[in-house]
Amino acid sequence: MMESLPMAAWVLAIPALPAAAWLLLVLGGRRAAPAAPWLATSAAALSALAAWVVFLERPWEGIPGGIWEGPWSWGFFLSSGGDGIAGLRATLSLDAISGALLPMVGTVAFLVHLFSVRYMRTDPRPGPYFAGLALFTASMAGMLLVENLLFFFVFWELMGFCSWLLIGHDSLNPSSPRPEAARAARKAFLTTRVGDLALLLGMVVLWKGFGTLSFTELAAAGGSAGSPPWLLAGGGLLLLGAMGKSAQFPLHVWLPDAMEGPTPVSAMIHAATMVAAGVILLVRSAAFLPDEILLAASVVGALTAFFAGTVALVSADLKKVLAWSTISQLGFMTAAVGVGGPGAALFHLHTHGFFKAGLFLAAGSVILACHHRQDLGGLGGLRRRMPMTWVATLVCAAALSGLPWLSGFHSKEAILSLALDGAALGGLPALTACLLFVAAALTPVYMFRMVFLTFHGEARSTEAREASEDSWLVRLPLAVLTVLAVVSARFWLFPVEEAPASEHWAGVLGTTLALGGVILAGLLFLLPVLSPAAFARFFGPLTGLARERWKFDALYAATFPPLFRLGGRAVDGIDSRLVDGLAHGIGRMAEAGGSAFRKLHRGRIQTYALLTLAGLLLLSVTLLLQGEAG
Amino acid sequence: MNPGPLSCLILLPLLGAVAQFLPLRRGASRGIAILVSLLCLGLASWCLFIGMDPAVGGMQFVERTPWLPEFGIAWLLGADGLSLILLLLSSLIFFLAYLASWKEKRTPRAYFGLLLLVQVGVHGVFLSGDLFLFFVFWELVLLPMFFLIGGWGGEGRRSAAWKFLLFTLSGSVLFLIALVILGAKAGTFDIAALRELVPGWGGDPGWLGISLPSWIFGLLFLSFAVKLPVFPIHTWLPAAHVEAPTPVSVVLAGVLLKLGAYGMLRVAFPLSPGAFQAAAGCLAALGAFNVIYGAWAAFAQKDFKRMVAYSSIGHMGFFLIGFSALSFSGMAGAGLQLFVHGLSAGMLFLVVGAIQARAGHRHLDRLGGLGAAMPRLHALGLVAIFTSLGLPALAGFPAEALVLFGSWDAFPVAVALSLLGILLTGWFLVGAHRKAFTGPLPRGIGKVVDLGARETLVLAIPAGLCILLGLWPALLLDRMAATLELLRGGFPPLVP
Amino acid sequence: MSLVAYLVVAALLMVAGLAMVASRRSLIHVLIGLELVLNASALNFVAFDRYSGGGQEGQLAALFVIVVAAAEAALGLAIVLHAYSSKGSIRPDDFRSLGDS
Repeated sequence: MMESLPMAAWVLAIPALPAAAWLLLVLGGRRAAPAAPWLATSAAALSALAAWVVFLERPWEGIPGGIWEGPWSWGFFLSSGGDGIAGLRATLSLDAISGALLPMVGTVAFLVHLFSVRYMRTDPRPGPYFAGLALFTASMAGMLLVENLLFFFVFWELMGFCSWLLIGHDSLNPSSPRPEAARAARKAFLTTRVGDLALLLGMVVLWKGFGTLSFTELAAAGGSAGSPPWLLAGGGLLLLGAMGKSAQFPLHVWLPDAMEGPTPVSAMIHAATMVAAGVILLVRSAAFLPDEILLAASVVGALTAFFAGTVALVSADLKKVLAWSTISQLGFMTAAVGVGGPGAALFHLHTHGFFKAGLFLAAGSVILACHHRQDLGGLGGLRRRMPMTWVATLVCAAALSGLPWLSGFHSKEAILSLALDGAALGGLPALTACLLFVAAALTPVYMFRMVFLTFHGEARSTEAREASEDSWLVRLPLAVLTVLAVVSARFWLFPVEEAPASEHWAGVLGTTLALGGVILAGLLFLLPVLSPAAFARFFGPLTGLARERWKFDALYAATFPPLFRLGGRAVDGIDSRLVDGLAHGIGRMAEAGGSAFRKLHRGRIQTYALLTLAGLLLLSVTLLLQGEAG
Repeated sequence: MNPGPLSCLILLPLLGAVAQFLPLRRGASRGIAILVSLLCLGLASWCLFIGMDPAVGGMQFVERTPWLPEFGIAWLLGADGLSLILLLLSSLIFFLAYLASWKEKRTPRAYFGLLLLVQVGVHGVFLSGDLFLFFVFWELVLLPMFFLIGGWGGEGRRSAAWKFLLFTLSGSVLFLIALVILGAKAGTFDIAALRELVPGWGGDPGWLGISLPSWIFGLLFLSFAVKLPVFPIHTWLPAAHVEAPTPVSVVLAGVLLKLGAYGMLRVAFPLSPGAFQAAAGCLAALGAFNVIYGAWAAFAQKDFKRMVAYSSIGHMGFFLIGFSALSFSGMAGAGLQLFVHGLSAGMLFLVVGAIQARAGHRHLDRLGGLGAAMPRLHALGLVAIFTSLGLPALAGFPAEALVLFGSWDAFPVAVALSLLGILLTGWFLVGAHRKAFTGPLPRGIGKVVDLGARETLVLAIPAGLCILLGLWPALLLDRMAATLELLRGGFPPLVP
Repeated sequence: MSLVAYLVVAALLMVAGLAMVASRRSLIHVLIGLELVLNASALNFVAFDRYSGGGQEGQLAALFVIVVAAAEAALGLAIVLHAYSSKGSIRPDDFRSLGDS
């Protein structure tokens, strides 16, 4: 327990500065709007700086347990004492995982802010936009800096809220609102919320089983627990939560739609924040998850990696290609945790964060230059008009494809070698490895298809012909991210699992596949050697299936909303007809009784007198009879 | 008699109500009401945060003056952590309601007088230590509310008011029967004394093979369940909430529903702990059913206000689940849920009221674009919506999380099912947000102006509290911890 | 004479009075019937007082009944007069505004 205040201040600054910027922007309202871009950006810059300082200082090293704790602790439910969940205390804590990821998160978030200053210049609502971005940054940092699953969940949900807010940003535009953005935001929120609630229930189950929600204590207790049914249930629910957040099959449907948000937001969601949460959760829980759940994670991840790769191959939209590639890469990470490589998963998350942010910001630069044209059919030939963007895209795509000497190569190789190692067991692990290698082969094809269609060949629209690169606010983030996409593997400090037996083979195989993919993409889309159409015909119905995203969106749209709406209408009908009808029925019964007695009250005084007499007689007779009986 | 702080909390609004009979200038009515509620708010905050000793679980600030000693009836007031928290809530909600009624033009004297009378009744219920007094205040709430709904409400106000009156009066009749039984048998109405006495009547053969404490529990529970409300005796709620004017809806959802919950945890459950425990499983099941039923019924509504009204039914289900589990966390969650629901439902009604005032209606399919046109309303509305659907860092989450964690041991199925309710709540609230706030403004709605300073204040106070409590629920939970422990001590644990 | 004889007379008076109240066509007669009912009760008080021995409560009550009867007669006649002046009739059946439909 080191308790040096300066370090604590640095650590605290990482989430606190963006949070403060958020608060200022919210309280300032419209008056703060003009200052919003630079306020939020400078907060993000300082937060990133603090993250780097913490990264270089590494305060968690040398502490037994490897966790640095802030000098403050804070009783959440009760300020002191309390047993059970009510006694939970929150502390600022920092370990190797958070320390390793914070620089990536901070840097990408800052660059996204910087890019947004230009990208959102014409947006009529800069205040809410930058407030949302700042809160997003703060939540992600906060999530990395807590050690308890419950508080982890708090920030996790906050990120869900922020992504909802930002995806739907354009739907609130006063002059040209886009309702699709609101629909996409709702889809994202609800799909991830299914996972979130599963995670909440999983937390309850784990709490009951282990009596703690601290990651460290869970990991310590998990090793000896075996896999009793409750742990299987809790772990399964937790996996479901991670699948929702990290857009894993079958809860992946929200991420492609989330492209409705402004492009820098997509960069934020895909690279630094939202989707990373699920992977981080799995990595942090890997130590106590039972083997069955890990196996499930590897299968789900591999399946997702493959399936999303096929869809990315046929996507007609620049951003959609990137979205599906994110899903695919997240599949790699999820599978990595499953095959026993949480370190490898984190490593890939780290490198992926930089080059995916680079790809998205480059896409943003294209979209900006082409006046919101983003369909691949309408782009092309941008290489000469936007050299900086072209270089950034090329380098980042190469890194994503896992070409040698770039950051992505190292991280992907680590995952593939672990999968290959496990494949020796046969069965599902072998399937996992196969799917991952196929997905790795698909990656360069769809990435370079995107690159070639966007930047090479002839410009296929007036917007593309007249495009030109924007100011330094666009170029600087791209340049930085390009450099980082090359070198980010050099400053990774978390241990990555090694698979000595397969390392060599995985490297060779991975490189071959990557190079082969690039060449194939070049033959298809750069040089008129092979015909894409003939390829599509060759795969026949599979192409159509991939274009329709394997029909999952259609399936969900046809089942859940109608089902819930039907249920709603049924309950409403029951409520207004049956339950309320019952109440009305009782009321009517009382009324009917009243009308019956009303007949006696015709206002004839003498009838009343007679009735009184009769009543009196009845009473006397009853009393008399009772007297005789007694 | 030297009135203590608790008597003042009852007498102040009473004075305010009486003052409405004076020949007042225009605008003085609301001035009096706001002043009175501010004083009450200050007094309640003082009692809760300064005057009270949080280590003591029992009644504090006790005032006892004989009233009808022949019948064992006394002016007995007392407050513990729970009642003071609810008192803080109600004085805050009334303050907001008066502020929201600023522009009430229809006989403001009668309007504010009646609202002040409701406040007298509510404060009285929360503070009574004597069951007879409790009943008197309980009934006092009824009639002014009836006139407020029936006199100042919307188009269907007459039937809604009658429905409210008949449902709650039926509840009161059951309460009265239980009261008579208790008074006749015990000779006292002191709730603390009754708590000692009633469990001892278990040997009494009772009636129809059901023991006397069980009868008392059943009668009291049913009478309070009307107010909570619990399926199937909830149908007065949508009608009354929808037809009442906005500030009255705020009071109804924010405070009146809490009377039912308070009656349960203060009277119905502790008086017959055995019967309560025997029924706890059923109550939790009923709670889970309410959560899903209310959420699902809200899902189908097109009228924004009606949707909010149904969501209240769901939220109150969490109280039942959490309290029935009889674990500290569950009960703390249930208690916190009462406060949080008061804020969130009140805010949602205010948001709907603001929308209706501008658009002229509140039919979700014909709304849109208000988020861009009214950024302030939008921001504050977001707090209300997301508190209600249980987003962490807002107050709804700690309450619901405590209920879920605290009830899992006793009622795992109810907990798992109630998650479906949370999902549905998120779905329809986010959907309502999409319909009302995003997209283009519909043609029928002309120029809309954003919230004014007063309207902003009315929404910003609860919004700030929602955020504060979301980050620091200990602020209130610390205050009720000892009370909950004491209350829980009265019941043997459900799960060993 | 035994108590029963007085009671029988009182009962007859009572029945006669009630019969008048219920059947006569004039409010004046109805009032007279009421007087008979009151007197029956007064007779009962006196008789019980005589046979239960001691105390003057019964006589006291009888006096009270006489006073009430006088007051009632005065008030009743006033009402009848007012009814006649406003409706022009003193038939009980003509006063049905309290009745339903």
